[in-house]
Order: sequence, then C-alpha cells, then structure tokens
Amino acid sequence: MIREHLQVFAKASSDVFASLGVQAVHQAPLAPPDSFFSRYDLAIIVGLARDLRGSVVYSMDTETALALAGQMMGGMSLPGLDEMVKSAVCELGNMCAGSSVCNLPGLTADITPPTLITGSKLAIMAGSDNVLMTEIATSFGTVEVRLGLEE
Amino acid sequence: MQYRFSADDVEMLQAFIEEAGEYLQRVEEELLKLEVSDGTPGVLNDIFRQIHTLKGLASFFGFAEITRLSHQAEYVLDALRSDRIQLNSSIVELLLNAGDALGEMIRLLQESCEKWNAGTVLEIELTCSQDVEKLIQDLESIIPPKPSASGGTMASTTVQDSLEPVGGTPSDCESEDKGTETEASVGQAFNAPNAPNAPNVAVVQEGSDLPVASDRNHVTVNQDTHIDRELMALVKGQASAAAAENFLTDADEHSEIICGKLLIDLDGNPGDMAALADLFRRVHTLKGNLGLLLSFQGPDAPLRAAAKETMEVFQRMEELLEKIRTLRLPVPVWVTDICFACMDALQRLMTMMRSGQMEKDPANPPLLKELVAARDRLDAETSTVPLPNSSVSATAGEPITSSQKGQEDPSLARTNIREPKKDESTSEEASAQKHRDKDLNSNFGGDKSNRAAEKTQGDSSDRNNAKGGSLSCPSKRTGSDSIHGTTGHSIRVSEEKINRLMNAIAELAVTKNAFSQIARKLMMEHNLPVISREVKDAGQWVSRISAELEDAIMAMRMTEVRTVFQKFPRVIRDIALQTGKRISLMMEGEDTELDKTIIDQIGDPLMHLVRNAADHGIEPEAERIAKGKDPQGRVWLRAYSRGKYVFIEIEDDGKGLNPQALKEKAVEKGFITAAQAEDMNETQAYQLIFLPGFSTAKAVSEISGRGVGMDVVRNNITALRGTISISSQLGKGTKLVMQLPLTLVVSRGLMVEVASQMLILPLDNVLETLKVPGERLLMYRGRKLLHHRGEVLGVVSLAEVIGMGQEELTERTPVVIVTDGHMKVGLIVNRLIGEQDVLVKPLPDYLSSLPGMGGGTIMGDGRVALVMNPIELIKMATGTIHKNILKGDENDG
Amino acid sequence: MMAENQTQKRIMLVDDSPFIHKALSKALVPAGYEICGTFRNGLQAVEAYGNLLPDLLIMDITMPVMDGVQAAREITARYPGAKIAMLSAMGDEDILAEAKEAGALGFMTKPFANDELLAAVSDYLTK
Repeated sequence: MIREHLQVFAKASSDVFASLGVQAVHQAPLAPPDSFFSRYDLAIIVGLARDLRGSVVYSMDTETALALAGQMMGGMSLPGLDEMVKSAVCELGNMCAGSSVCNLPGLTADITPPTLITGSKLAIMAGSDNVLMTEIATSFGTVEVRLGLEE
Repeated sequence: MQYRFSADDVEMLQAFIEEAGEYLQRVEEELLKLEVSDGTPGVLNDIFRQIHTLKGLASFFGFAEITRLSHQAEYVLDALRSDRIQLNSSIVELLLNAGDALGEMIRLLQESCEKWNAGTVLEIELTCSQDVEKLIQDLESIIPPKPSASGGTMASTTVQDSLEPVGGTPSDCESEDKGTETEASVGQAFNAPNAPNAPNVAVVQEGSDLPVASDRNHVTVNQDTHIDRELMALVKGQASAAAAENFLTDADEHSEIICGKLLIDLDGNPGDMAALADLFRRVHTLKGNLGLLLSFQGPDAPLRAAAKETMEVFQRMEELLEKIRTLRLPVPVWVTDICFACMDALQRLMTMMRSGQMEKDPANPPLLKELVAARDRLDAETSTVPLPNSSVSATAGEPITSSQKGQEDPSLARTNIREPKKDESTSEEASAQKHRDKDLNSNFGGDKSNRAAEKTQGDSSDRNNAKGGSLSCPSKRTGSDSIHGTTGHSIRVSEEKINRLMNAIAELAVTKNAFSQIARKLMMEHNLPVISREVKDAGQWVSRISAELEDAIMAMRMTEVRTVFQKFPRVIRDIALQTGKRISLMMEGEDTELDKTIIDQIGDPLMHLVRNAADHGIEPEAERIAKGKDPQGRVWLRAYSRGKYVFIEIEDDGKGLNPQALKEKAVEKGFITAAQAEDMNETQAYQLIFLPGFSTAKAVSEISGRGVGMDVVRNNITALRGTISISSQLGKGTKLVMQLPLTLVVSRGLMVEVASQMLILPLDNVLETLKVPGERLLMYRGRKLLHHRGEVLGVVSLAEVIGMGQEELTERTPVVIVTDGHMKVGLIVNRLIGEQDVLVKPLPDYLSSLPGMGGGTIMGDGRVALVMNPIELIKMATGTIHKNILKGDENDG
Repeated sequence: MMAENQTQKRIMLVDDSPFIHKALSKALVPAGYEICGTFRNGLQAVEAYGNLLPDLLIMDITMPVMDGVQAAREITARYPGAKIAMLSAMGDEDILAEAKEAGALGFMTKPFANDELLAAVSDYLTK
C-alpha cells in the first residue's frame, strides 16, 4: 500500500515542479531508506492526517532549495535562506504534498503546515518502521521523498 | 506603355518587383562608391551583373522601357569594365539618373500591384517622369562606335582555356527577318511588344561584324555582337527568346568555372570538398535554368526535346554528386570524366540554340545510360561505407548552418527574419530584461517567462538550423562567386505575413485566458477539482508558449537602421552638388536595431535633420577655407544602443548655431520678450529652434523646404516616445541627439476610468495626477483653468474630448496632467486606477481612425483597454478648449 | 505621484506563508487592488474581518491554529455577504465540497500564475 502511495507522491510532486518550470523526472526505485541520516542538509516536513496518517519529508541540498525557490520567485538567483526564501521553500513542500494527497485514489487526507529544518546530519523518521523513499531528479538537483505512515 | 497581366502572373510580377528593388538599391550604392574610389573592377562587375540580371528579369515580362534602359546601361558598364571608356562623374551621374528612372518605374509597378484587385486582370500604364529615350540616347553616346572585329578584340574580363572546340559558328545563324536590323529600327520595332510567336530561337546576326569564332569563348570574346544579338531577340518581344539568351549567358559563366576550374581541381585533388560543393551547386543551378528554359517552350518547340534530355542529364549528374557529397567521399576519376561529358552535352545544346538547328542530340541517350550505370556503381561501392552522423552536414566549405552574424540585405518594404546571434543581442537582452522585471510580479508564474528568457538567450542553435531554401542548394546564400552575390542567413518575408502572424499571436494572448476560466468553472460549478487542475496546467503551458511567440515576433520586428540610413549618401551627394559644397557623410552603427514602427517613422525627421546639416550647417568651401577649416564638410550619422534606448546622432562640423541670432529672431517673431531673451543661456536659446514656425534661414531653400519645421520633427519624435536634444558650438558645428525607446511595444501606462470606459494614458506623457476640489477649478470664458505650481493650465474633461459626454465635477476631481513635450493640459477623469505595464498592440484598421487612440492592450483578465495617444489628445483637447471659449463667449453675450 | 484612489477594491490575505503574501501582493497591487491586511492563521482572520470588511478575502486552507475552511465557516456565519476565495495546495472533491459548504465562492489551486489570479479575482469581485 505504501508503495502505491509513494508512487503517487513522487508523480504529483514531479508535476508540481514541472508547473513551476522545473524539469523533473522520477525514475529512481522505491526502497526502504538505507540510513536514517539524510545525505542532504535541508528538509521540509509535512504531516498527513485523516485517512492517511504519518508524514512526508522532502530533502535536498540547500543549493537545490535556493534554486527552486528562486524559480518560484520568477527566476531570481538567491544568495541564502532568509525568512522569505524559507517561506517559499515551505510553500514548495506544501504544494507538493497538497497536490499528492488529492491524487490518492479513494482516500481523503489532510496536510499540516510545513516545517523546514536544516543541518548537516539530519535524522529523518528515525523511529518509524513503515518508511519508503525514492528520489526525483530535477534540473536543480535531486529531491528525496520519504513517506512514513503509521500502522 | 500598357501592360496586362493575368491574375496568375501577378505573383511573379510581385516577386520581380521585390528583387528589382534590391538590385537597384545596390546599384546606387555602388555607383556612389565608384565616384570616390575610381572604378575598381570588382565594383564595376558587380554593378554590371545587377543591371544585367535586372534586364533579364524585366524582359520576361516584356517591360520594354526597363529592358532597353537597363540594356543600355549594361552596355556602358561593360565598356567601363573592359576599359574601353574611362569613368568620369558625368557618366556616374547619367548612370545614377538611369537608376532613378528604373527605380521610378519599378515603384510605379509596385503601386499598381498594391492597388490590384485579386482575381482580376492587372493593367498597368508604365510611365516615367524622366525622358527615358533621352537617357538611352545619352548612354549610347558615351560609347565610341564599335570597332570592326578583327583580331578578336578581347572585350571580356574572364579569360579561360578553351578545352574543346565548339561545333558550329554564329555565321550559321538563321535570321528571322530578311536582312539585318540595325539599332535605329529598334525603336519602331518596340511598338509591338506582344508580337505573335515566331520560331523560338531568334538569334539574329548583325551584319558582317561577326568574327568567326572557333572556341567556346565566342560569346565573351565579342561582347558587342552578343549584346546586339540579345537586343534583337528582345525586339521580337519574345520572352522565350530572352529566356534563351539569359540561359546561354549564365550557362557560359557556370561552364567556364566548372570545366575550367572545379573539375580540374577535383581531378588533381579528389578530396576537395569545397570544390565539390561548388560544383554541386552550379550543376543544380544549371539544371534549374534548364527547367526554366523548358517552361518557356511550347509543346512542339524543337528546342524542347533537346533541352529536356539535357536537363535529365543534369538531374542525374546532380544526384550523383549529391550522393558523393553526402557521403563525403573523394571524387573518383570516372565521376569527373562523366561530369566533363555532361558539360559537353550542355555545350552542344548551347551551340544548337545559337545556331538555330534544333535536333535531338544523339549523344544524350548513351550518356544517360552511362549516368545510370555510374549511379549503380556508386551505390555498390558505397553500400559498405557507414553514413556519417548528420547526413547532410555542413562541411568546411559550406557555412549554411553556421552561426555567422548574417549581413542583412537592405530591403525596401520587408522585414528580414534573421538567425538569432549566439551572443546576446540587445533586443534579446531587452526582452529578457523585460521578463525579469515582470517576473518579480509573477510568482510561480515565473516559470513561463523565465523559460522564454532562457530560450532566447541560450538555445539559438536549434534555430540556426532553420534554413531558407532547400538544404541541398545553398548556392545563393554564400560565397562571392554565386551569381547574385547575396550573403547572410535571412529569409525574406513580406510584411503582410508578419502582420498576420502578429494578429494571430495577439489573438492567442487573449484566447489563452479561456483555460483559467474553464478551470474555475470546473472547480466551482461542476465540482471537478482534479480535471480543473489539469486544464489549468495545460493553460499554463499555452501561456508560456504564447509569451515566447510574443517575444519572437517582437524580435522579428526589429529592423536595422541601415534601411533608413541607406538613402542618405545620395541625399548628401545631391545637396553637395546643388549647393556646390563639398560634403562627406560618415555613417556608423547601421546595424543597430529598432522596432519596425519606429524605423518607419523616423525617416522623415531624420531626412529633415540631415538636410539641415548639409544645407544650413555646412558652409561653402570658400568660407570654410577662410575660417581655416577643412574645405570638405563632414556630416556624421551615428546609431548606437544603450540599455533600453537607441540613440541616433546627427553631427556636422559646420557653422554651428548662433544663440544671439536665435534670440533675436525669437523676439522679432514675438515668441519671447527681449527681457526673456536676456535671461536665456545658450542651451535654452538652442531650444528656440523647436518653436513652431521658427526658421532662421534667410532664404527658405528648396532643399530644406518650408513647413517642416523643427517643431514637427520634435513632435514626430515625441510621438515615438523619444526625445531630441541639441548641442552646438558657434563656428565649430552642431550635434543633435535623438533618443528612442528600443521598442514601442512595452511601456508603462496609467489606467483611468472615463465614462465607465477603461483607458490607458502612456506614463511618459503623464506629468502628474491630482485630486482637485471642485472650487479650485476656475472658470474663465467658458474654459476651466487650474492654477497649479505657479502655472495656469487649461483643463478639460477627457470624456468630452473623446466625445463621450462630460464628467461631473465632484469634491475631489481626479485630474491627470499630460504633456506632448511642450504643451500641458489637465484631463479630468472619472477615476484613477493605477499604473501598469502595457503591451501596446496596434488597433485593427476599423478602429485606428478613431481620434486620440494610439493602440490597444490586453489586460490581465483578458479585457481590452484602449491606449490613448497623448499628442493627439492634446490637440483635440486644445480644440475643445477653444470650442469652449467660443461657447463661453456666446454665453457671455 | 499617485494620489490616493477613492474606489479601489480592498483585499484581505490569509496564509501561513509570508512568501504567499508577497506573491499575491506583487500580482494584485500593480493591478490596482489594495491589500488591506495580511494574516497567518484562521483565527486572526476571523478576529480581523469585522474591522476590515474587505471586498474580497483570499484564504489558504492549511494553516495552524484554525484552518481556512473553519475560518470561512465562522466568517460567513457572521457576515453572510462575505466574499471568500480559497487558495490551496490541496484540491480534491471533498475539500472542495467542504469549502463551498463553508461559504467559499471561489477555489484556486497553487501554484497559480498572475494572469490567472487576476482573472479570478476580477471575476469574484463582480459576482
């Protein structure tokens, strides 16, 4: 089940990137994470509620995040993560997750407001058993998508 | 002389007119060069070729006057290039006049075409203000009488080895009429240009002047006879005969090069790709020419059968060469041999044509068989050769798809589409800039315009592959040895087509909004959010593409100022002659680009300024010498772009403006008081010349004319949203600088509501906006006035100006103060809405005659708002004000 | 240079993302609209609505403290003529139905493009 859901998340998120003018391809396999430490230094966490309970986490390099946010702001080149940029990055997570839950067949899920975390050794979904992840390749860098669901 | 063309022919005629115009333009330029540089053979040859081609084309249509005049000019040019006569300025003058006459006639043709009703028969009366006959005679009289042809006077400039004797000689010619026709009777013969068909080859011998020529060069050895013969053919008024002559001339030229150079080269160096490419091109051209020749032959014409076979020979030869070229193989010896054989076949055909004995060439069928065998052999030998990656690739010798900066052919009434330059040109930069600016407004919608910016800047390599004409025949595009000598990578497109495209793109811009509307409906009225989103996404894509199209069309409209500048050397020359001064014109930056609309409209103001500089600015030689100046006066015409603007400078090193004289004149005419004159500094004094009706020329000269004052010039420029400034130094010279926006298209506007209509006023003309309490508006003689910042302004209701009723005055009436550069008027509106970016589109014809309208624009929601033309508005407003005064007077009684 | 306008339409924005506030302002202000207030959760929106009485309220759904649908419900209960357009990353039938039931007269999904937003806003204001 989680496989199908993650598939939906990956596709819907790629579509959102595309509608922002970013080329995105999901070809990577879906697999359990090899480590609960992320190889990226930025993550957007969006909670899931109602029919699907858990969370989805989008991780990427800060550079990738800056580039994506820059794209959302009309092609700007952003120097760093200020409040406005962080808000934009969060919004990105919001859109991806929001679009994804709409496309879950037969399920109605809600999303929570997103949270942004940065750091060099991010531990993601360390406590969960039911986690699956995959990667979306974009023209600005890789975006990792982890889906963790409660039993 | 009267001409009639069926509807089918008119298209051909139009193509002729376009081409002819270009040739004539080049001819004029080069003639001017001649005067200065004293007749370098290259230039003379060029001019000769242009005129020759023009003549040939004109003869297809039977335009007798054009043909004869060109013929005579060609004759003179030929004499010049072979040093039989010396160049002098009266000859140049005469040639220029001939060029003018030709140009005039071509323009007359163009006008007739423009007025033509499609589907009907086109009738043209071709006249010329110059005395064409006299011109012809004058040209004739330049040439000394023909030498008797003894000892083979070499009148040609191309010398080549004769490879094989030509069978048959001109003395075998058949003459259509008994005896010979001398040139004196030519004039009479022209009264019947549409004479009934006579046998195809009407090559007439002219008396006993023909030498017996035993080599294939007989045509070029004795140019006189050749030209006369052509003339005879034309006398018959038979397009086919003329076609034959032209074919022969061209075929000779190509043959010379093919047999004399290319095949020899390939013999010695089979891997010479450049030679192969050239060979292929010429063979292709010859094949085409054969086809053209054929098309003029009736089904029973004796020439037809022979020519058809020859054409097939060339077709096969071309295919053979194509394959070799594609595979980039070295040319095998047996192929070179076959090529020689084919060229021989061509020679035989040509001889037959000249001799008038048209029979099928017995040598052709076996030759054709040989060619087929050759092809088979080639296929067999190369089936194991792997194809290179791109099958028709650009080799070193064929810069078809290179990203050279193409040089533009100046075109009369056309926009050229050019390959985008790989480095960022200003127009691309400006449009990318515009999008970046806009993007801070568009959020995630930044995607669409960003992509557009990316594409215009980076990805020009795809577009470089857009070729004009077929890939396999890039002949006319490159190389100075192509017949017409055109260079550059551009496509000719008629303005009408561009306009059609623009309209379609404008419509798309409006229609694309339908997507979001439908998406909304699906969402709210039909509860289909998922599909709604899909529709929305699709709409986004369409928007993006629409934006790219808009960018592209804007770029297409950018034309080089060269098209405006190119007439000025002639203008200066004429003025110099008329006034006896020595003036040289220096032009810089002709490849600077401007929007086509601006280009179309700066011609007149520029002309006036250039004429001023030459006529009033530059002093006579004697005066200059007395002042210690260079006796030759100089006028500079410069164009360059900086940021979002293009600057055009007109500078002269003449006598400069005299502030004192200007002030005196202004006082004398009552524009200013003596006291004001006192207070003025130099710069302000210079501005006086912009006053309407101001002119310090003692005698209003014929050249600069009257009634086209500097005020009109400035108005013209302001209407283009440009500015003009003057600087000068008494005794040293004057410089005028015009600043014009890069495009007329994107601007900032102030949106107002007037009589429940949304209108836009260009922000550049808006000085200020105010909210005025009703009582501050003073009424004086029926007219509203406002005392504002120390000035008294006339104020009118914009609604009244454009005839839509009157605005009521409220407690806080919005007033917009507009200016046209020197007058200010206050316009009362109903409501001020806001500033915004405006993409001005021209109004459709049925709306464009509305007074005060400058264009239309499409709002974000897809509605159309009208953009006003402030200059016109002010004129209308002052008219209204006057009307009010009159009314006021009446009321006062 | 612009003097103040008498009849500009006033729009209130509610979204937890400041980025969205900025993006919306950038689209709406040059088109001549006035942003009369920005808020970051549904509760703030409900409390401020009465004072501002905007011509249009654009509100996100996913917000902390009180979400947009709930806020819409409360606002339309007290001010039946309130014009509310939802703007959300989510968009499925259920959410849409809930929003409409709560009184929303419009529903837009993110991401949006400027002209689309302006067309929708103009539409809602003239209903």
